[in-house]
Amino acid sequence: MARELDLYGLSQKTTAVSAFQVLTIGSLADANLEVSVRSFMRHINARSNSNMQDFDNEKKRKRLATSHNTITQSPAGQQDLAGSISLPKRVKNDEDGDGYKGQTDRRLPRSIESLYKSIMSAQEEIEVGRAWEANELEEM
Amino acid sequence: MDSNTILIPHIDAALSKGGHHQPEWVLLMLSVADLPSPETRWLRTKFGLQDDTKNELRLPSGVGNASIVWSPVMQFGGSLRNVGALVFIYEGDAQSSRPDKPDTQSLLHEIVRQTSLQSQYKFPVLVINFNKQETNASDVFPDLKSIDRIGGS
Repeated sequence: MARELDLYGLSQKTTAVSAFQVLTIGSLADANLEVSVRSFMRHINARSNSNMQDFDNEKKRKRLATSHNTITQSPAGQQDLAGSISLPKRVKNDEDGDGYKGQTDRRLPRSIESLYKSIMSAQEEIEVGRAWEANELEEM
Repeated sequence: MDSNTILIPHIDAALSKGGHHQPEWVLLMLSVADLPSPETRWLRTKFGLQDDTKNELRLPSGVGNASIVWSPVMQFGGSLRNVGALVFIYEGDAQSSRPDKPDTQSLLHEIVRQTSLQSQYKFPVLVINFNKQETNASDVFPDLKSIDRIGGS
């Protein structure tokens, strides 16, 4: 019976089960259910199950992780997470010379460099586009 | 069998030791059969579930909110969070003769796995097999290393 259900294999997969009990009833008239249930109830202990995964917390964690990834993947999000200060404010704060200076000194150049590269890249694309259009017109 | 006098002292003692505040505790009884049979009706009656429509019974615990919940396995859609004891009931052999039905062993393993992951309590498992080909017997596996044969007739 136990071999048929592989209770041993099952017990190896978890520590949450305090005991397994198998009751085979061939004849209802002869079944001594009470003895078995009493024996079974002795294994109740209401101890905390360390295998438990809190699915509510897990959902919250995944939601936070997803929103964190979304934020960090967007350029605006990178700015916000870098110091919780948007780029224009940082520049302004830097100009004002207030307490954010140390932080902006470290991160602002990278932000500007990235922004500059982005603008230059766009500019190059525009110029390539213009050149291509000019070539097309000349060929006509 | 008076389920209250058998169940309540053990449940209250366990919940008191557990140190939980107003704990919820459930004895979950899952039947492989979707439809009631004379055997499952007999068993339900022993646990105080007198008619086929009643699938939940509040137990008069003095410590927390304790209850018995009965459901066919494939129709169970409730929470496993408060399961403190699990009773798994099937009839006949563990191997399914129908290819469209999952075999009993797979069902039991999945239920135990899910309950292990979702219940806040450690829990014992009682497997009840109604099998006219077998003689009555009861086996306990406290740690699956030693097998004590108890009860039976």
